[in-house]
Formats: sequence, structure tokens, C-alpha cells
Amino acid sequence: MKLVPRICIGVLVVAALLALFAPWLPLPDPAATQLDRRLLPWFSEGHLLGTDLLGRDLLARLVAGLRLSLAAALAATLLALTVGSVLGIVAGYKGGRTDGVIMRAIDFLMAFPYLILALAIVATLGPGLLNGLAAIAVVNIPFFARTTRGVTLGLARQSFVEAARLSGRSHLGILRHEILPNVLPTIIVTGSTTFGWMLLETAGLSFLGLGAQAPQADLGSLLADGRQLMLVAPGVALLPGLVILVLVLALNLLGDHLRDRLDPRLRHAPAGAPGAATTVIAPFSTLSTNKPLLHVDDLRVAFNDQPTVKGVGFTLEHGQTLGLVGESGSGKSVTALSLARLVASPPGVITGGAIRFDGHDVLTATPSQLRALRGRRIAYIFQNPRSTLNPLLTLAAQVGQTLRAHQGLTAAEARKRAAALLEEVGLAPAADYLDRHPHQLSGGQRQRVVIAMALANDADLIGADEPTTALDATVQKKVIDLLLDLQKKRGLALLFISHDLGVVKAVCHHLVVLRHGELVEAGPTAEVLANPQHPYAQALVSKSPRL
Amino acid sequence: MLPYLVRRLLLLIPILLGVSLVVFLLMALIPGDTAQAILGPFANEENLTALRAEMALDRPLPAQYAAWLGNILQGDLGTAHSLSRPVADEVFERLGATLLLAGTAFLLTCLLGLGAGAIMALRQSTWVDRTLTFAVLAGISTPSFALGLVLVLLFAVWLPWFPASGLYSVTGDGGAPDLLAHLALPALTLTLVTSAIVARLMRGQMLEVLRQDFVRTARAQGLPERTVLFGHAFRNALVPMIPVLALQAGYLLGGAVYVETIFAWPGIGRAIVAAISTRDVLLAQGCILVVAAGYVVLNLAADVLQRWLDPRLDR
Repeated sequence: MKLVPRICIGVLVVAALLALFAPWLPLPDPAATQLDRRLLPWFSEGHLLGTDLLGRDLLARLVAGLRLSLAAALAATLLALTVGSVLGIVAGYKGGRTDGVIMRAIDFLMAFPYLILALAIVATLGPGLLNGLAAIAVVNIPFFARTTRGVTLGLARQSFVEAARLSGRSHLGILRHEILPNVLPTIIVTGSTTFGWMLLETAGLSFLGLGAQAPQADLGSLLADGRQLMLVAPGVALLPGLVILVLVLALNLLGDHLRDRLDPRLRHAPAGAPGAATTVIAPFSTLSTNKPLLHVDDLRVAFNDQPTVKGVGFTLEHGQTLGLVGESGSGKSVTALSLARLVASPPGVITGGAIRFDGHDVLTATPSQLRALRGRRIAYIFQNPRSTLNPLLTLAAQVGQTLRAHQGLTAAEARKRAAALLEEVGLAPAADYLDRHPHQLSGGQRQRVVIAMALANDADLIGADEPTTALDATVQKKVIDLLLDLQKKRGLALLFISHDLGVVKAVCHHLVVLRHGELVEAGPTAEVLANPQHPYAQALVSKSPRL
Repeated sequence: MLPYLVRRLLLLIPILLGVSLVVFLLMALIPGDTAQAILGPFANEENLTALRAEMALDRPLPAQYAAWLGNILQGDLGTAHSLSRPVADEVFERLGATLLLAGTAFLLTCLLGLGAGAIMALRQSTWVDRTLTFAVLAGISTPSFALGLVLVLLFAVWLPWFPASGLYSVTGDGGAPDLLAHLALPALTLTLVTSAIVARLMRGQMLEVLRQDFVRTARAQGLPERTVLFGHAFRNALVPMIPVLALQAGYLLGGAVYVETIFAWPGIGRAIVAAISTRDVLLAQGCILVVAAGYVVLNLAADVLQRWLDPRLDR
């Protein structure tokens, strides 16, 4: 186990032991006043932490306060946990009207600001530690009720509960033997995370004078007492505050640690948020500065130190289409994304090779050089139209922003040009689409928006990652015709990723076959398809029924 | 959007009725003689009888609630026996001070919490992230009543930069500079815990959004990184944070009780504590009712704002 959780457990165990055995510790009576020994400093004889305004031993009072605070927080937690869990389990199990009534009541409790409701309850019951902890417990009931209801709701629909019901078991029996054992872990985790808040809130009420009443004193009342002495002896007030802070911090750190360990999603979380461009380690360029539009040489990409693309190279000319084929996970998309350094980094890193695009060395390009290439010279049509568009922006904004970034258009000009682009990809009349949001479009329509964005700035190279997979056959053909038309008119170079060999055969001049990140076959399309050399390429070709 | 707004405003009526019912029942449940509890221990028999008649205390609970609600709708929250003045006057006089304090703290929470959360996400797993993560956890674990005392000690006693107390009214003679000076420490105390909570959740949201495909799309279009991070990532991370922020506003209203007590701020939270200590039931009830009603309206505003920012919710 790591150091931090160990320290946290240590702190909590020491606090619990101190609280448990407080009456038997060799300490003075915390309530005994000695008026001739008032306000002694720290390390005074017989009083390690000194004394307060009435000459009471501060260490003894601190330990007694700790005992009372922990007891109050524990009682409040157990109370909220029991009532809340019972309500949540019953609501989740019974469903229907019972569920409706219970959850509406819970909603009304939640309509109040947290502490204000607790104060309202104390206003009714009157000040006092028991009333205070009851009030804190009540305001935490919704939290437990909602959590357990959610879990129970899931359980109640499962087959083992159904089976128990059909076998004639009573509701109480099912709740006790089938539901409770499965909800209990959730209840315990929820309870342990709330304990820290309960400690803070019960101490808070005492600080306000509404919780523990003299001569009883918990950590909150000690703080309030010490407040009068802030100027002469700040330690009297700050020490109890520090104790609360340390306890709650230990609880929270431990809770975080447990959550990280129990939640597998967090355990396998990537190392960081992807930055603006893929990190390049040891870039070098052996490529000549003239010649082809795109030249990729010995490209190597790794994810979390696992090589994913292992030395891929090819060239691509104006007006040509290169097909990248291979099974999923073969490194096709990663290769294509590398051309504009768009591989998410971390976790992806380009570990070697060279990419030269129209005289620019992509792997050593500065951020501003990359921005000038992206969207302007190298554009992309991404695979999944469900997630490639920003859900909050209108189509006019999404298509327009790339125009404004590269061509310096005004908002009105960009909107006009965006309208023309949308009509070009078949979203006509554009006026019906400009102010729509992505969720109002079908998958095919969204993909056309992505294509319109790729076409916006007359790019020289478009990387199309399965551009037509999400579209139905007629639209598929239209989109491909559109791309091929542009290629003819403007000499567009296309990098075409697909697993559909039929499409590949129709559009690609050359083919590159990837497998496990390695280039296994490359050449003119007809040659590769007619006479595949590598066993994998042979298998790929023979499996495709349309050839 | 407009039908939705009308529907939500209509829904406000049953929620506010429910809240008023809870507040009413809490008072009705006070053990002993309610009239005595309201007028205090030194009330004479004549006043007690008059009050019982006015509040229908001799009639069943529904009738009592109707009478009580009727008075409230006419702006009559009763008389505070501890102050010998109408509760409504006292509540609205103090409401301004609390709104100023909680509102300032809320703005700071948005700035600090959302900002720190976004920075932590962008610098994930660096020393910046680790330091802030610990600071955030410490912030969540800090009792705000202890923090207030520490700040008083640091910035009012040892370094006498700000006053620790002494604000008597928001619209006093000191003017804006005096008000700001008095506001500094209480607002800072109040905002640290909520900022920490917001930062923690914002970090998670931002990390989630930064890995989404549309952020890559924005980068692939060659947009400036500033636009990618603010126009795309931050904006999308903000939407689910709105209910979180509304919840924090509720914590701020509650936390104001501690802070007002420490800094002797003439707000509604201190009035509630004083009312409970002096067993002034009507004053406590009036304060709580007004704060709770305000919170209900604020939650409505948050829902509407979220729907306005996220067109997907508007169906």
C-alpha cells in the first residue's frame, strides 16, 4: 500500500483509540477548573497544551471533545444511514406509488439549502447536541435514500429477485436475504464518505452554540470557546480546528484512494489530457525537400510504450488516391492522424520516422505551422459522425469557424460560405440547416457536415477515415462521387481508409495493406488485388465477396 | 423554450407550497404551547389569546396552515418577540447583506473553482495538478468556521489589512471601498470550500471533454488552441457543472451562517442563529422561509440556464 493511505489509516486509528479510551487516560478531569492556573502556555508542568480561561487542561478537553465529536458524527451517520437506506430500499423495491410518495418527500427536503434545513429542525427541537445531530442526520437522509434506491432499483429487476418472488418468499424475506446483502456494500461506502461531512457539520452546529451545550464540549464548542481568546492565545481555538481538519482530510484522502482502487475506469485512466499536437520523440528527416506532396518514411507511433505503428512508409501525389486497408487495430487511423500530428498525446507518441508534406517537415513543425497546415492544407473526414461534431454549436458556427480561422472571413461572410458548402454536400436548402444543432440531424447528415468542414478551405490532402461507413448506399455513392469530382477539378490528394474493398477498388490508385502496425503489402490497386503476395493480403482479398 | 419556461414557472407553485408546508409543520411540531413559543416566556394572557385567534391555533392543522399562508401572502410574517418588530422588516433588511456576501462568494467560486478545475485537467499528472489536487482536498476538509478564524488572525490581526468585523449595514456611510474591505475576508472564507468542491468536479468534467472526438475535430480544423480549449472544451464541460454550481449556492447560503457569525456580518444567517438561541420562532421561520424560497427560484434559474446552453435538452 502507498504511504498516504497508510498515514490516513494511522491517524484515524489513533483518533479512534484516543476517543475510546479517553476516560482511562492519565489526563486531568477536562471539566476541573483551577482559577490560579489560568491560560498557562504550552508545555507547562502537568499541562502539555496549557490551560484555558478557567484553568481547564486543554489536552484533556481536546481529547474529550474528540470523543464527543466522533460519537456525535457516528450517531448522525448511523441515523441518516439507517433511515435513508430503509426509505431508499423500500422505494426502489416497491416502486410505483410508494416510490413516488417517498421520492417526492425527499425532493422537498432537497429543495432547502443544506444547512438551512438543519437549522430549521434545530429551531423546532431547540439547541442541544442530540437535537443537532438529529438535524444533521435528517438533512443527509436524501443522500442515502437516493443512492440505495438506485442500486435497489437495479437489483429488483434481476432474475434472482424475480425467482425468489415467484417461489413465494415474503417481501420481508426477499429484502433481507436477496436485496440487503447486495445493497450493503454501497451503503457502507456511502456512509464512510459522509462521516467526514457529519463531523464537520455537527462541530459546526456546536460552534454556533446550537449543538453541544456547556459543560459538554465537542471540537466545535472548543473552537467557539477559544474564539474569545483569539488575540491572547490563538492556539486554544486553532488546535481543535486543526484536529477537525486532519481527521476529515484523512477520511477524504482514504476515500479517494479507495475509490481509485475500486473503480476500474479510474485505474486505467490515460496518463493525461491530450495536448494540441502529438508528441514527437527523436524526429529526424532524411527526406528530400522537393518531390511528392506527401512522403511518409518509417513512421513509428507508440501508445503507452506499446508500438502501434511500426515503420510505415508511402508517398502520395496530387490528384491521387491512396487506400489504407487492414483490420481494425492495424494502425490505419493512427497513421492517417499522424500526418497532422492529431494522435491523442498522451497516450500516443510518435517515436520515429519522418513526414514531409509539400516541403514542410510535419514532425518538427511549430504549433503555429501545424495550425496553418491543419484544416487549410490537410483536412480530415473522421469516422464516427455521432461524436465528431460539437453538440453545443450550430452548423453555421462549426463550418464557419474553420473559414474564419484560415481565410479571415467576417461572421456574415463565413455564414454565407458555410451555406454554399452545406448545399455542395447535399444539405439543401442550407437555410434549413445552418441554425440546427448536430443532435437534430441523422447520422448521414452529420457525416456530410463533417465533409463540408473538410472541404471548406480547398485542402490539398484529405484524410478520409471510413467516410461512408455510416451512410446508406445512395448517399455513399454521392459522397464518393463528390470527392472524386473535387479530385479531378482541383488535384486533391486523398488518403482513403476503408475496410470495404469494393469502394477501395473503385477509388484508389494505390493500396497500402497494414497488419499489426506493419506494412505488409503496397502497390497499384489492381496489382495488389489481382496478385497479393503477403498471406494476410491474400486472405483479405479472398474474404471480400465483391471481388 | 417559452413553453418550457411557462411550465417550469407553473411548477414553481407546488414546490413553493411544499416548502412552506415543511416550514409550517416544523413550527407546528414544536412541543408545548405554540402561542407561548411564539410570544416568548414573558407574554401576557391577553396577547396569547389574541394570537391564538389570529393564527387559528384552536382549529385543526389545515385551517392553521391556511391562515398562516394567507398572512404570508399579504407580506405578514408575524412579529419577532426578541426584537419587537415585524419579522418581514428584519428579514428584508438583512437579506441584502447575505445576498451581497453569498453572491460575491458565488462569483469567486465560479472563477476559482471552474478555473482551477480546468487548469488541473489541462496539466493532468503534472506537479501543478498534484499540488492543486491536494489543496482541493484540504479545502473540502476544512471547517469554514476554523478557516475564518485563521484568516482573521492572519489578515486582520498580524497583518492588519482588512477589518475583521464592524459592518453595521450594507448601505452605510463608508461607501464602496469600505464595503469591499469588510467583504474581503468573509467572502474569501465562504468561497474556499465551495471552490474546492467545484474545482474537483470541474477537473473530471474537463478531462472527460478533452478526450472527446469533437475536440480533435476542432484541432484538425486548425483552430487556435485558445478557441479549442475555451470555445469547445470549457464550454462543453460547463453545462453539466451548472446544477453543481446551483447546489453550491445552497451550501453558500448555509455556510453564510458560520461566516456571518465569525465576522459579525449583519445578514440573515446570524439572524437565524440568534432567533434559535432566543427561541424566537417566527423570526427563525421567516428567515428560513425566505432563504428556502430564494433557493427554489435559483434552482429554477439554473435549470433554465442549462437548457439554454445545451440545445440537446430542449426537446
